[in-house]
Amino acid sequence: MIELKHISKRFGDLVVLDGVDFEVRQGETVALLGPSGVGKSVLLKHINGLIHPDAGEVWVDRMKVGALKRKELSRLRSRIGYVFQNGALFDSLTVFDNIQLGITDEAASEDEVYCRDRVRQCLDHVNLPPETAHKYPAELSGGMRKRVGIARAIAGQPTYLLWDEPTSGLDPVNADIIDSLVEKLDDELGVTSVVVTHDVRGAFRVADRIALLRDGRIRAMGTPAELRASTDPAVQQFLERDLTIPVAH
Amino acid sequence: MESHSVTLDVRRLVGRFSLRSTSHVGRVSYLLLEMARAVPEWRIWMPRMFEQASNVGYGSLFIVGLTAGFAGAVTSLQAGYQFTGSIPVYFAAGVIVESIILELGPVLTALVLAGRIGARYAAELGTMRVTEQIDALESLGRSSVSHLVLPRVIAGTLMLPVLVVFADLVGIGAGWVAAKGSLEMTNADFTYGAQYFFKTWDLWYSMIKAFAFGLAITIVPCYMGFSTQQGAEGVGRSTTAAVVSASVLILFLDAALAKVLLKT
Amino acid sequence: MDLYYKQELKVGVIVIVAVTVLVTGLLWLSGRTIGAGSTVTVPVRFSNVSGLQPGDPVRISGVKVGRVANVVLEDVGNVTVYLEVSRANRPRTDAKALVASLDFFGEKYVDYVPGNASDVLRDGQVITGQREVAITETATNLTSRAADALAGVQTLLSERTAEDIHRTLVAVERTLNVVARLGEGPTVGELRETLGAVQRLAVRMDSTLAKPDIGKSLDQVDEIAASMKEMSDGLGKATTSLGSILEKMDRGQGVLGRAVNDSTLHDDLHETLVALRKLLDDVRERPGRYVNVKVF
Repeated sequence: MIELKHISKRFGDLVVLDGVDFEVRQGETVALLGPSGVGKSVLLKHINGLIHPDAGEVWVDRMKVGALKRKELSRLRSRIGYVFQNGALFDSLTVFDNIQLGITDEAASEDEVYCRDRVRQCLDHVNLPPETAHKYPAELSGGMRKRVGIARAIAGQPTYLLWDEPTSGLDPVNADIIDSLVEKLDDELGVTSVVVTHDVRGAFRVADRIALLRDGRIRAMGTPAELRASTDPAVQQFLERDLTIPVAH
Repeated sequence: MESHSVTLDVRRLVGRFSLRSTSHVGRVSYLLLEMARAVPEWRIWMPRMFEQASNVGYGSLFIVGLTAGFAGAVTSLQAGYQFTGSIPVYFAAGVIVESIILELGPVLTALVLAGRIGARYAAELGTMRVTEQIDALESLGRSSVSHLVLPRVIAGTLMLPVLVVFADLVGIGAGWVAAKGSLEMTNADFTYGAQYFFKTWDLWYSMIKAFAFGLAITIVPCYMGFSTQQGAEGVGRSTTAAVVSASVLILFLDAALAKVLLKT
Repeated sequence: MDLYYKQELKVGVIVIVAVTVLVTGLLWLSGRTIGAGSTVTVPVRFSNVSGLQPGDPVRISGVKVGRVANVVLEDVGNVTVYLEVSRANRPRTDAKALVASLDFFGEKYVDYVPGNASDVLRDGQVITGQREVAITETATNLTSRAADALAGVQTLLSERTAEDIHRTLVAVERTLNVVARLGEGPTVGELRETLGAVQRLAVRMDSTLAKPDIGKSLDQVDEIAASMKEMSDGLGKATTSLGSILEKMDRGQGVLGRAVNDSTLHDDLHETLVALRKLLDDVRERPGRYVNVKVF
């Protein structure tokens, strides 16, 4: 259960979030939609405490993120997988080492056999061949890098997955592959997901509920059907462009 | 009109400058605190430290040796140029050895390394910051300070005295050879002069300086790299800022340490 | 396994090499050798060390045998200097040490005499060091007289003048000894006479200056000034005469000319002349100055 209560955040003179209330229930997949540069990623980083709000509170599993001690915050973060926009792989490490760093349980990460198995397993989850493990991020394509990023995020068996623009910058074929990966992982691993995206089509495909972030606030929130039926002109304007194309499923 | 009033508003400029400096001080202190807290996590920083240290140590040997060698030879030649007539030749040996141990060895090595590893650290960490690698590390519940900052700082601080010893050796050696060539100094003259003016404290002072410079040229660039913003340009900016401020800090520390530690 | 520790090994190697270089350099630069047991530390008490510093050499008969390890100011007029010398030169009960000047630049060294006594001093036993002026002292009574005179003179004249008198006396003494071996001859006689005159003058100067109550009254100052005048005239004559003797000698005339090969005589004479001239300058200049100061 993730709760954001009246979050405000500004960078210098720029107000990014202005009283955002947002809630994610256990087991569901919520898509956070909005135009680029509206602060979706900023909102996502509040959830695992990478950014602290100027005002408001973030609660995850009934724990107030801002008030946690270092150890507790570190433990909480290891339960939250974060998939970064461009993978954010450690480029000095091989794919194997990258994914191994994702194994957040200390005892497990020392067990070489477990690590080797887990890395292979995670690569398998994201449909990458085991040979990839010995490559460096620079040797991979954008889509593969994203998938390695996903493998790293799931390696620690998180209960939450935060997806930051999983399909941005990818061609439609790769974007579809990633979208189906999101769906698959949410189903298989039973995790609670928050997907930040500006790709309306993908959002409607993977999400149980969709929230629209605009002008620093949640403009609308509901199931895909509810959102489609919304009479709010701002919502309609945002959805229109993409929804004229038929959705895959 | 409005832009005029802004450019002329000195109070605002001063205010903004002092706010910014103060916040730098605050964030550096916070980083230092985080580093102190990360020290017990030696299982994490130790292996990475060795990797960085061997990189810094062996990677810098050539350039440090080259710099110190030329510095030693030039000091020797210039001492020969200035010490003419009535001044005994062994004085030149004392000048060469003392100036290399006290000043040229530590300072030149630190300045060279500020360019070499300072720029490297700032660029590495800056790139990691803008490509969200640092966030990624944090998001995995891992401390970026113990994974990234502490290994670099400890490696640099450990390796700088080592490199200064090497620089002193090469510098004195080159000075010796040059002195023999140009000043017609015998080995006995050189040994006599070198020993005559040497005090044990000089060498410790050199090592203390190297240690302080090591901290300066690693902490400042790490901090600059960590606070990088806005993409490739930001990385460039923090790299430049790192090298410039580390170099300035070296010169400042040089003066401060001379004042504090060399009571004559 | 070996690959796993590769970085650690490389770092270890470079650190060990650096520490070795550092230690070797430290030992070389401070002029010490490995094996701490081979040296012994000798504390010496001086009243004044004239700027002696740790690291300055310790010499026996001009040969470096150790270094000054530390200089500690205990009190005004009480300085303990720790000498580090090889165990072979450890002090005996009659050991002596004094601070001397090494060269023109005023660099100092410790002239150390371990002594000949059969008993070796206990470790840490303090030796009382001597001052440089008292060192050149040899056993002859003339020079010891001069040393006595110095004490009195010091209060009146500058240390330099006192030293000049002292040096003149020593030089004259030495030259006379040489001349005595030369036998007879006109120049030799002349020389002997001149030197005798110088010696008498110097001794008289000593006694004048050594008067304890000297300078108490204007009368005495006048007296000193008068006798100084007389003495400086005498010294002037002796200097001229000695100069001409030396000249003859350089031209190779008489017994003295033949003795030129005995370079000791020539050098001694030369030294006497230089010392005499300096003394003359001093004597002419200083008492006058002294008197003026006293009068006004």
